[in-house]
Amino acid sequence: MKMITCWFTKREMARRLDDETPLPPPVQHHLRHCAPCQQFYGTQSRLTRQLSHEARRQATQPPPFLGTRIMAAVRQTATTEPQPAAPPRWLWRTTLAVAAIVAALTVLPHLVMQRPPPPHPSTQWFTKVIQLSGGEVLEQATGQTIEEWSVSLDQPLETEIAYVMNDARSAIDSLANRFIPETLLTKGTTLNH
Amino acid sequence: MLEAPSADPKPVELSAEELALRCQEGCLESFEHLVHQFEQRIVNFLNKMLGCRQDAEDLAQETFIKAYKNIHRFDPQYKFTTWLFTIAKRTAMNHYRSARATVELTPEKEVDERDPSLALEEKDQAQSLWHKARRLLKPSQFEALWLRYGEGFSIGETAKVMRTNELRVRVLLHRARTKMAKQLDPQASRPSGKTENPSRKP
Ligand SMILES: [Zn+2]
Repeated sequence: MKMITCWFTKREMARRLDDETPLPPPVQHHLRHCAPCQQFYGTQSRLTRQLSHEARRQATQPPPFLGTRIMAAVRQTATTEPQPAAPPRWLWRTTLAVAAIVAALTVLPHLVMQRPPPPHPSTQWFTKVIQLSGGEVLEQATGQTIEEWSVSLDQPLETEIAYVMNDARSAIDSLANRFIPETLLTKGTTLNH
Repeated sequence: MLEAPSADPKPVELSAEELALRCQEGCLESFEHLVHQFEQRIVNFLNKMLGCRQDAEDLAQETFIKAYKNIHRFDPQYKFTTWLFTIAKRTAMNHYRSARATVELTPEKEVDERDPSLALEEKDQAQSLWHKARRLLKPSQFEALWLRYGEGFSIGETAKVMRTNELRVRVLLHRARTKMAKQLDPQASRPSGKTENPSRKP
């Protein structure tokens, strides 16, 4: 099904739009033959260009005395609350190193002695998906219940589950990109799940 | 404490990180350069977050005072810009929380009711794109969009200011762009399966 190739292409295009990097040749090739993807990329890149342009255009000068006002307040702070001196860099590093060793010595015995509690029954299947997808954010889910995780991300649970599934698909995509010849992919070959 | 170190070069030729380092050594003049360098961006950022110019200017002052008080905590191996924007963002959030406790208004509503120039703004096609974004998007999506395309921060820098990870920033940006694109071009954002030519489906 071509729609799967389109899905992967759109995902890649979104990534390139985030980073403002050019599209890789396989995606460019796909765009030449796929009007919906072409339209998607056209709209999204036009949108990002417009947003940047308009932000620059709309940037208004602060009132002329704002800087003076700020500096007057800062000077007052400087006289009433003298700034603590920055500690030398080596002190930071030494403190951090000591703290890390102390923390490791405190926590390690507990970790060795204690087995992690079994996951909440409702999260077991989900944790498996997470382990399969191996995404960065997804690792956070293993320590929390899905509900907590969803709330902390301020997203509806269904959306997050869909997102997890998407990442699992993207892992398959990356495998497909490595092992399936490019010509087959661009011709819209089906990647059946 | 208020004296500038005598070493060259002049503060104006230094990077923001170098200015901050000088400031850590007690150079108030360097901090003044930082204020001049960033006041416009901080006011614009706060204005975008809060939707009120007056509040944005007051909070910009608060941001710089906080930055000055905590300058000894700044690590010059990181970017000063992201550090300053993080302080600005936290200041805006504190302000919003305390304002919400007394006034039951969202920032968007405040814009509509307080800003008399809004009618003119809406006539301006260019202006209305960011305005539309604020109306359409969740605050976190809008913030990511502004930091990325309004401030020109990289994904990593945006994540730092938002105190989140890069993956979440990408998700927020993707959702924000998709929602915006739907408004601009409803055809373009339909799922690929629906935009397919049915004759090509197996
Ligand atoms: Zn396509």
